[in-house]
Amino acid sequence: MEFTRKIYETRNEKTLDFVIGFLGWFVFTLILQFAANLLLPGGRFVVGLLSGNDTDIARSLDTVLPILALAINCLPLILNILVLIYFAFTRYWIALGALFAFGALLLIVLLLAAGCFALSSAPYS
Amino acid sequence: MFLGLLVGGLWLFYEARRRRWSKEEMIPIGLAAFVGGMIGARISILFFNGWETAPLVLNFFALFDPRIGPGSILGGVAGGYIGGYITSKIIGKKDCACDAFAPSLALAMSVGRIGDFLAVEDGLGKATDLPWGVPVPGVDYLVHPTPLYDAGFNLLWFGMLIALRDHPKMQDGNLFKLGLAGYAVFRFLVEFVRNNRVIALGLTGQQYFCIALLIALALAFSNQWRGTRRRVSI
Repeated sequence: MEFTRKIYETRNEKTLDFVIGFLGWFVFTLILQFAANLLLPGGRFVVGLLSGNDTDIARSLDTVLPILALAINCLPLILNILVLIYFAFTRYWIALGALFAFGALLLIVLLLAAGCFALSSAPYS
Repeated sequence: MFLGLLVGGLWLFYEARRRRWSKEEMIPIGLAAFVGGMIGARISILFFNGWETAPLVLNFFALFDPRIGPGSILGGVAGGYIGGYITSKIIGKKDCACDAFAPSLALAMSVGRIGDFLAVEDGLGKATDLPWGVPVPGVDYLVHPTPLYDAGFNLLWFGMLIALRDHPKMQDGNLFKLGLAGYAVFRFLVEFVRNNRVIALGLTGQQYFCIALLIALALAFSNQWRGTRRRVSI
């Protein structure tokens, strides 16, 4: 697979792509969350429809469902990594913006966790 | 942990400036190492705690839940290395960026482990009669303060890595490999007084990871040594 890397000529181009990557990552993640929330109950519904009253089919679909749920669970992480790598090779500044968004959110989570710990161990909390 | 990351990050920034990295190199590599580390720390739980943790561990959105701990430091180091390595190749950095990470990691782990001890969360060890055993809520015996063993070792190791960082043989990734090897040996030994899940032959998943890491490092050093000998003999 050949990747054509964008050559950035101006600072504005870099800034624009960075902002696209930064905001786009949040939009992409929200879409993934929405899709995952739809796919899981949707999958269960389809399994229920397919199995009907047949207990054999229901039993075999029962083993498939957790695997399907796990696959749907993994998909956002895998897609995130693949999309990041793709943009890193094609539009570097979009990848950097997305990575910045990802890292910033993780850092906020760590701050919240540290804050919650500090509050819970305060003497008069 | 947050303080550990902050201190480690500041040291990394200092090391990068000392090695004259540009910010166009430092920022993406550091960022990718951080994100890779967080993902690696979480995913490695699958290996150490079993497949039953898969629904939580592989859930992307659970990465952003502050109620859930970050995961294993060993996985974090592996994930961070992979993230940093991929990024350094993408940006075309010629030499290995990882040597700057070696002392930073040791310092970050030293500080972070003190946090683990204070939070009474990760790694408090097995029962002991030793005079430095510590009490733990919920049990009526003293236990090994294993996070403090970790913190103490990492602080000493940080000093050692700082002393060696300018040695000609400790360039081009060798300082990082040495840093990892030292921690892997220490971690293998301290696991015997921790409470992690035993997988087989009395060893925990973390110990098997350390063995695999030491083998990989030995192979890397061996390849490098053979390459040097070939260049010398030509």
